[in-house]
Amino acid sequence: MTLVLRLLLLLLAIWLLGKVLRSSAQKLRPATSTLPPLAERIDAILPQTQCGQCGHAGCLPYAQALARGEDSINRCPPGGEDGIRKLAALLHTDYLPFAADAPPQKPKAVALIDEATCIGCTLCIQACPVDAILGSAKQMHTVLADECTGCELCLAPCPVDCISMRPATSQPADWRWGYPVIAIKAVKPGSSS
Amino acid sequence: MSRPSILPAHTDPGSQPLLTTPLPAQLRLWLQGASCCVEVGQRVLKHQLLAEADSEFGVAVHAPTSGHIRAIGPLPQALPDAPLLDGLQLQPDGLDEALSLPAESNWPALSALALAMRLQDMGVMGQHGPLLPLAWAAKASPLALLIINAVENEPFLQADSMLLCEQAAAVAEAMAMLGRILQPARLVLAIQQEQGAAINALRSLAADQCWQLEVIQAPYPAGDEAQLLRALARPEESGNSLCLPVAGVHAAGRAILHGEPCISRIVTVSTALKQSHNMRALLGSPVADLLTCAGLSSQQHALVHGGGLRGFALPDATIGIHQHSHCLLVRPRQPALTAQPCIRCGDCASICPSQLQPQELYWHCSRQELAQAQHWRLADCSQCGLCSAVCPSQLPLLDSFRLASQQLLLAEQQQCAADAARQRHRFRQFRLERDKQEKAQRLAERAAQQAAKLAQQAAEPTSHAEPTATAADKQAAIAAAMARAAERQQQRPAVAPSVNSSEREAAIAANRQAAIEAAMARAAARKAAQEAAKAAAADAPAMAKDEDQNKPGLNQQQQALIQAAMHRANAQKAAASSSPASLDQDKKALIAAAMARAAARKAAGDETEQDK
Amino acid sequence: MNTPVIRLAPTLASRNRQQLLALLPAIAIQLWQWGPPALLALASASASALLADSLGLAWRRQAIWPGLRQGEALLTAVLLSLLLPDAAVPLLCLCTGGAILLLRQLFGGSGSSLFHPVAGGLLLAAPWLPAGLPHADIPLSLALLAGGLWLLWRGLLRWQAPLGLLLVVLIALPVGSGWLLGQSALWLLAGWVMSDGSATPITPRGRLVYGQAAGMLCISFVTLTTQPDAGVTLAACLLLLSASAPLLDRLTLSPGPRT
Repeated sequence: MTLVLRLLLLLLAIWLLGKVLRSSAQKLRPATSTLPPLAERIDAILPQTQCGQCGHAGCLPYAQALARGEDSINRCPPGGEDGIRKLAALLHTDYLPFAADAPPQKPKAVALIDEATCIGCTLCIQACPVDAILGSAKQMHTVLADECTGCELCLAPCPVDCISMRPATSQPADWRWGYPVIAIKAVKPGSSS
Repeated sequence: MSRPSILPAHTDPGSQPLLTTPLPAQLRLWLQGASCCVEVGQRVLKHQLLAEADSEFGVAVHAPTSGHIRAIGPLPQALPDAPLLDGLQLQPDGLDEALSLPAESNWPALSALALAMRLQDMGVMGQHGPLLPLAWAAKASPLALLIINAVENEPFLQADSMLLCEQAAAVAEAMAMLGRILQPARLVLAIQQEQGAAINALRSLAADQCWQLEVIQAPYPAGDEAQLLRALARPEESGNSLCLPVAGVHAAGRAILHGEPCISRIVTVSTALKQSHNMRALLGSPVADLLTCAGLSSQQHALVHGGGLRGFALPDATIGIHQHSHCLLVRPRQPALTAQPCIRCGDCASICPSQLQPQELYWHCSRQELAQAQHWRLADCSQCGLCSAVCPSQLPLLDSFRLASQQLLLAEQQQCAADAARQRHRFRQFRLERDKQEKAQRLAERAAQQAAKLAQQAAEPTSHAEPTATAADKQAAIAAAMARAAERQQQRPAVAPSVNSSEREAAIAANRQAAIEAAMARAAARKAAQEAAKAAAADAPAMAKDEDQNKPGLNQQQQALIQAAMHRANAQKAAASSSPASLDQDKKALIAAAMARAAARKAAGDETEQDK
Repeated sequence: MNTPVIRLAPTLASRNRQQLLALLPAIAIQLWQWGPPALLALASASASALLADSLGLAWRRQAIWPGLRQGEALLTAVLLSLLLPDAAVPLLCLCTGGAILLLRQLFGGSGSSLFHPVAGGLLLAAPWLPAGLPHADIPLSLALLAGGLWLLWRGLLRWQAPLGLLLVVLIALPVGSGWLLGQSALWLLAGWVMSDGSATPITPRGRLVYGQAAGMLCISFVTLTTQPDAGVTLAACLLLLSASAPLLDRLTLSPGPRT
């Protein structure tokens, strides 16, 4: 009899504990109503190159597809693995490595128009998703390097192949003399050089 | 464990003479934020401009002595693991022929911005970039407090004290000049209590000047800009105050009052035996030359660039000194220390001047958890290196904080760039939509005008035959109906924009996609043609054949292009002719474009087949 | 890695060496009291500690010599042999080696162990200890106090937790806790075990609370139960409270005010 009583008490205790834990978990969870819509939160993580490598027409459509759960999180090469980790954390899913056939990740590059070859066809201007190309019909075009996201969408339309990608030059803000910083290289604790 | 008790006391340069390094065999100057304006092989004179600043953060570079430019190209930087940086190598010819630069005769009339730009042109560097930040100078806001920072309390540093002992009058002159031009409400020279000799040198000068001498008593990181501002600025001054290093101020005085660009600086070379030598060295002098001047060899020693707590190892001794090389430490080579795990002794937290918890920060920084590192106030870390120096487990705390804060900076920059790109992309979409609507409006107006004209024409000749009149009436009615439809069309986006605009957006997107794809197909065809041509050129015997095969391909491709262009033109015309049917026309245009694309692809396919 | 040019504090190895140095007077007094068997016990405990530590390091695939050089195993052995003067040598060796293996190496080496091996070792040996009323050992206590004060002067003693303990003991004098002050185990645990970082909270406030809680627990156990050995009781309390150290850290550790 006491055994049954003890078992009952144990079950009661487990049930109570479960109740308490569940209610505290709900209390601790951030209120979803105050947050912006999921698609916008996803869009904030995406690198905004608008390059279309994910198969969507830009970063926002991809974010919307992700929010609806229609696409996987490993489709954004410019975001890198770090981007996948952030997406996985936001969407409460597992980390997914890039697919084997995914476009390779490239270092940040900026488009450069060979001004001697440019014929002023305006096709690249129409293709640029962030209006980073200046020029008008039959006039030479030029890329605003600061605004260029390196999406490479302007390469294909150019009829004379005058656009090439150049690695982004280091900005003075990236490196300062007065600020003795070590280069970007993982510091392994315990390893000495 | 309190900071003043464990830090070694500051040693005054005392009676040691200021050495002057002999002319080195080669000078290595970096072009950081500057674009070169000399050529390889050119002979340059002392003080001649070698590179001019090409950004807000760069400063000009001048020749420290006369000689020939031997090379312009990437050089290793005086930073551990830093990428190569463009620089130039100057071989002195020993003549030291100087270009006489005119002094600024009317310097009191300079504005703050003009002064800042002049200092940039003279190569005078401050903590970050030019001595006076251009962005600050351009704002031309009144300056409440100007601090000249001569505080030197990191172990082994002596260069600023030496400068003040040797050139106190020149520094005072430079400060008077800055005070005259920048008109600060308060001009203060901050100095550490232990720098006795320098204080004595300045005391006699400070009496009848427009600046005050502030003697700081706080321990080590008190010489940092932020700490100094906190210590010296009154609450109302903290918003608009400026802190300048004393070496830069001295150089600014030489540049403005005497027309001499900044080509040298005082460097302290300190050895393990607590001997220190101060020497004036030309910028770009190899580190090895400075060591030789101090009677040391660079072979059996490890080199550290910077003070005792913030210094970092230099990879080799051929690197030239730069404007921030205030100190070189020469240590006997030691076996690398192995870091032990954190024993949670808490010494780092008790010594941290910013009251951080370095052990928590280190944990997150070493695991690359930047968000957590931010939560533990990585941004407030002044990177003073005290935590690394007291850590019994010899953990690389400072190194990991430096790395993490740079990563954080990079992440912030990327986020800013992404936000800007998002805004531009949204504006572009908005602009395309707006253009489309405006076009539709214009077309509707034109249609209405035409309808009105027709109605007028129909109304005028009433005496004409009946059938024509009825026909005209009908036409007028049709025109009016069209105009009404156009109007409705015009109003509809306002009433129910969702359906229409989304359709249109899709059409626009599809149209654009089609254009891009057509262009891609074209490009592919072009490339294939080029390759074919190349192959033909390479293979001479088969040339004639190839040409025969090529021609139809080219013709086909051209035809396809022309067709595509015609289709597009048609589609545009059709779209322009009537707005109510524009959606249909859009569709037609899409179909036409698709056909053109198919044709082009076919042409390209043929081409490649022929290639094979 | 850029090692800083100047070191402002002793390294881990030298810290442990100085802690051992501070124990020298106590060791001398114990040798004088117990004679050659104490020396034998000390040597065999040290050997067993070094053996266990190297075994653990090898098992964790760590470099053995740099690990042993830090001297933590030796310190554990000396502390345990001072705490258990009347234990049989095999028992001493067993509990030293066992404590190092179970409470240090199993947790991932020094710094990661949540429980202090000395307290654990003392508890391991407790069932086999000869029962009997403890006697006050004033010379040994004084020697330990001197060593502790020397460590304090060297800046190597995290003094908050020992202070908390002593405060509680002093306040509880009317209850009859005065005899605790004559126990060498109290001084040893206060000066060499409670000042250790990994088994105590990291903030000064947390350490003070930890010391006070240990004192209160220990005194209530000693006065309310029949357990006569203050050392074992205090060790048990320390182990119990070490488990709460992460909680105390969480409560007292904050990023600090933003500037």
